[in-house]
Amino acid sequence: MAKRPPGTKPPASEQARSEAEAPAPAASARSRETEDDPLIRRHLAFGWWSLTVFTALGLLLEAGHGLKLGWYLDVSNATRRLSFTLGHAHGTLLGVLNLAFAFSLRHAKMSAVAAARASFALRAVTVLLPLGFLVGGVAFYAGDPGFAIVLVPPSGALLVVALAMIARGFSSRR
Amino acid sequence: MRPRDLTMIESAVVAAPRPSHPHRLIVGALVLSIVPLAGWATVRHLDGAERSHELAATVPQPVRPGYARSERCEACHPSQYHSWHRGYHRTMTQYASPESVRGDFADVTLDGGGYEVHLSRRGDDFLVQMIDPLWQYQVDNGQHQVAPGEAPPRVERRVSMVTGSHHMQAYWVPSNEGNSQLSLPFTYLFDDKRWVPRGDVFLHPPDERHPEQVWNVGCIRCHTTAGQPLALGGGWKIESKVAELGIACEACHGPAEAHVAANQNPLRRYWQHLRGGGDPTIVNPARLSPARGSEVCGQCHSLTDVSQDIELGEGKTYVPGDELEKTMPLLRPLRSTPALQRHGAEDPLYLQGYFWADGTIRVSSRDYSAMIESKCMTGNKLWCGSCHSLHESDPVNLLAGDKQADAGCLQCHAAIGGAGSAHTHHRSDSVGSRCDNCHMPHTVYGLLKGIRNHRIDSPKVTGTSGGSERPNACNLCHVDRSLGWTAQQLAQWYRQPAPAGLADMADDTPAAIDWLLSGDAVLRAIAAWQFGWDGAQRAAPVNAAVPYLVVALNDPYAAVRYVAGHSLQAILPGARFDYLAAPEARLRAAQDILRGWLAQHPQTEHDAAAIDARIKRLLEKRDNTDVRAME
Repeated sequence: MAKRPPGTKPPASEQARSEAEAPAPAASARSRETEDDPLIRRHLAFGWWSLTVFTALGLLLEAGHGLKLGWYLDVSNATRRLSFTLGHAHGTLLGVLNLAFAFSLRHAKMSAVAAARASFALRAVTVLLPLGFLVGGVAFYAGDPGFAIVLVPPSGALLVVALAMIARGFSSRR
Repeated sequence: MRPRDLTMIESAVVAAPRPSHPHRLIVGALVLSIVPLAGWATVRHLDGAERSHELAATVPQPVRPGYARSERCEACHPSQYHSWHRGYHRTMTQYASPESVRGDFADVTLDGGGYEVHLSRRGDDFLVQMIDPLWQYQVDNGQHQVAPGEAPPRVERRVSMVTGSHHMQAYWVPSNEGNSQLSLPFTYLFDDKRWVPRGDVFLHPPDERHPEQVWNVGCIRCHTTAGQPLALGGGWKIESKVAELGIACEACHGPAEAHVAANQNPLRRYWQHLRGGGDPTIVNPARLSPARGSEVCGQCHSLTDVSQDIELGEGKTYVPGDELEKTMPLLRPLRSTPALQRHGAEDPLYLQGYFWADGTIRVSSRDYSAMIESKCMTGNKLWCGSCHSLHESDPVNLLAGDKQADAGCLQCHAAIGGAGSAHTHHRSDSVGSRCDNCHMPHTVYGLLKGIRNHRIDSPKVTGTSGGSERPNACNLCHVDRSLGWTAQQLAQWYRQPAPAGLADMADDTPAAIDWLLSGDAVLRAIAAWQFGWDGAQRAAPVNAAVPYLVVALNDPYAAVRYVAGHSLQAILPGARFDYLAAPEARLRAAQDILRGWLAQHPQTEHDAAAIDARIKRLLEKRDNTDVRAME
């Protein structure tokens, strides 16, 4: 390992390793300054894949409009249409949010544990929230989506928690 | 150009006067344009507010507690809401608006039926200049004696509400006493695209002037949801209330405010989904017993004895799920009741107008009264929902998508369906092999046409013909055949004994012609309609009936003339006839039609004498009893 000049910060990979080994995460709070950080890479990959998947879903929904699919467009399927639209929209926006998280993570002053928790929450929400809408729209009860919709409220709460953690990371003066 | 010249031009440009503050000009222009716009918008708003206030004061409002109104149902039941919304129950009564009004109000003057009105439009308002309808009503009902020289007061009224959106539309104007509504004495017919006097769309005695009607004490009961006339206070200070105009969700499902409140809790909703079964906070007619479920439709689609409190006071107390007979006893001639006897004694024309001689209902929108007299009801399986669906059907006939053609009947009568022609004695692809053509023929009159009767039974020839005798299904299709012929066929195919009373089996007069000319007004209207019906046209040479239909063009009842004219046009597409023209003009038009037809059928000349004799004979035995068949 090459020696660092005095006063400079260690590379993110090294930092992550040391944080994982360190018993006191609060003490190791520092900015991430390299894109080699696995957390950043993970969210970049996750964000772009999310965008790919949910954009492809958007294409399917557009096809539903283009082909006038009654299964999607009929008034009797309004709940399905709304659920699918919400699933598509939330998935896409959460993909963008993952990218924003990745791009801004180097500027955050978060402990490794906090970053890992925010990362986990964000990725979980990116899967669960759209899933709740999408599966809830497959089989539904008149104006109510199917039971999978139960995924949505906790996912929404989890998203708020994750965002608060990230925001806190940017507000910290440490 | 030399550089010096350029410098001079630049100097000139720089020296030219410029507006020192261009943004002030922009702001000034904005102010100049916004101020008048704001003024215009304010005036419009005030006008609108004044109009809304005036409407609220003179038109019944949806203010009944306990009822949620249909727009609140949409969020949870979008499919049901939209299927209801596109149907005709919703539009049975609507506030007048450019969206709801379909009549021609482009400065039209109408004169007929003893009334003269002028119709016009101002913005979103539809206006009528007419004799004060309240004054007219009071004169019609002996509440006001016209003094010598007293001129009928003319007023201008804004059309407040409309009734109907399918075949025709009737209009209402405020009396300006409470929120009572009186009728515009003209109705707009959609197919004909014309105004006609209101009395000429109903079967009522021709010399009887169609009176002003009060919406609040008749129509409100079934043309609104949970309407309350509240007209017992005396005088004209009527302050009627409704849950909603038109027949909305809660007319069939009961008051829903508690249901809406309970189901704002998502946990309750999902528990209901998991648990299955009905929600006790609302009525689903399909989950009621067949009898109770049918009564939900029957609350309006029947002829009932209506108490004074229902007619004028608090309105119906029946809510879906109740036993209808407890609050609104049915008038059933086949089961004599005190109420029936009272009605018969008070006004013999009343029951005669509504029922055939055999006690079967014959006026439209009373299908429940017909259905309950059917043999099919004895199994306690049949109910309205066996064939109809409000939410999964074509709005025109409300037949459920999977109950089209014979499917409704074959649910219970699969064996007969399997027998096919062996049962029907008709080709399987003919109109004679469709269940409803034999078992539910068009023996109900309403809306200027024949309508299927919901008393499901088998064709039968009775011993008498004409008058108010219910016509049999066979002769409504085989309009060229006599009763004797039908009696023979039924005896041969179904071992039905020939009726003893049928005096002359050899009389070859087609029964439909007999009914057309000698029946009472309802029978004549139904027979006239039959000749234009697609089924009869496929089963019989209807062309031969033209001379008789031409006679019907001069029937004393306007509605019969209308129906006969339309049937003639179905047979002779070029025939032109105005059923409301003066008698001489009608006679000329009828002669023209007959002449044209004879020119195409010269061989008929040989039979002219026989046809004339038959017409004369049938007209002589015509049942001229007054008929008032109010739909």
